[in-house]
Amino acid sequence: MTLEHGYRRLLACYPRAYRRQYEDELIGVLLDDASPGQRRPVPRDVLALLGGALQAHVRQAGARFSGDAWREAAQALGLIAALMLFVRDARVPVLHTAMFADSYPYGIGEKFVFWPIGLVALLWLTVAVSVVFGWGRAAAAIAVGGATFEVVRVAEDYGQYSTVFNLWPAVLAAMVPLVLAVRAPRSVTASLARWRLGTLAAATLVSVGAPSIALLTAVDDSTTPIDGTLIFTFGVGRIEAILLTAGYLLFALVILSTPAVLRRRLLALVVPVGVTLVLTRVGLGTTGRFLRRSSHDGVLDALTLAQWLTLVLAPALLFAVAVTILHRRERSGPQGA
Amino acid sequence: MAKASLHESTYLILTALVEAPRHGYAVLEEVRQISDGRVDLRAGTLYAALDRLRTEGLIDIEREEQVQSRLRRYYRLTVSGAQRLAEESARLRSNADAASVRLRRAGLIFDGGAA
Repeated sequence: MTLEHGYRRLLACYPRAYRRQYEDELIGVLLDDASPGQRRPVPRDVLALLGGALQAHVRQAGARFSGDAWREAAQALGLIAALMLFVRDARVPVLHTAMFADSYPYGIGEKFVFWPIGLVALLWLTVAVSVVFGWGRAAAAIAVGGATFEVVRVAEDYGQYSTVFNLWPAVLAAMVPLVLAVRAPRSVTASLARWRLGTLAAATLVSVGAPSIALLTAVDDSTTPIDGTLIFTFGVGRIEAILLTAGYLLFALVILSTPAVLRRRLLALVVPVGVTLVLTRVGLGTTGRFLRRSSHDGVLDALTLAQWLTLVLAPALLFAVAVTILHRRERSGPQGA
Repeated sequence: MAKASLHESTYLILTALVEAPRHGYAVLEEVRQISDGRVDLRAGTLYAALDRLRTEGLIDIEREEQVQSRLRRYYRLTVSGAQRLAEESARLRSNADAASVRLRRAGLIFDGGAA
């Protein structure tokens, strides 16, 4: 292997666009700067080249994500995620209120309904409203509070029951302040259009009100509870399941009906949440298919280091893969962004 | 808002381009000479800095030529690069003057060097 080959191997670590721009020139400088008779890259050059490659990748990623399309997608995701988290947290307080109205003297009978869950639901609603009014920074600041609660809740669940079954809302919640901290070039009303905002409002109302409507109509009393894994709940009646499904389909409709450039980015941004959902719902557990967990006397054992690493790295890696595929497709496709 | 101070190697790269446009290897040599050999930039570090400085508009490509079938680019300082370098030099000079005055006042250095 010649010295030039050694350098070319190291330069393979750089992004393709960077290599096109600088490779020949850089090889020339490296060879000019080499000592007479030198046959291999010296450690200082190896370190400098690897450091330079890392910087180039970070700068390239930064340049990609700073594009208007990514900024709009970040803002739209912030709104949709805040509404979905509101739905998740507000369902029980709304049901509690509906039960009071339906002459149940103790409502759902739990003290935690309004505090803290009701308050957190209110936080997510405030975040969503702030995004719609274009107060991105305020929304991001409020979202920090909601995200902290969701993360603490998951940590408590793990501490008590060694379960990560509900990790996905924490991942989604943690993303909200991050994506809302990004300043979008135009308002969410402009990027999503009014009818999609209306659809989001409808999706939110249907999903939040599903248990209450089922209760007040009393249609579910005679039906057997159905498995609600796919609608992120369990033990619900048919009417509630149908309403929840309708709500989630409306959320999906909003995402899938956006222009291709925005849609691809929204789908890429939800990859970490989707991967976490699949890993925690399908992969982990006593019947887990690829991250099987042992249990003693019916109690799950704590996650192993490998399982933790999978939970952390798999969403990040698959997000990176999704972004790479997206950018390659747009570079080669006729409707590139 | 105050601009962030330049990293020493960046400062020296800009300084190396003040008198004339230079190609990559000449910049490495010039930086070593300016710093009396104290700063020994490697090519990987230099090109990371050149790429960043080009993006920031502080330097630009003057011309390209082929030498022994290899591409050689000459980089030049832009007007905003010269301005940035001048600002940074003034800042460093001001800091150095302030330090010298205080050291002299405290009797820790004389005109010729440390006490």
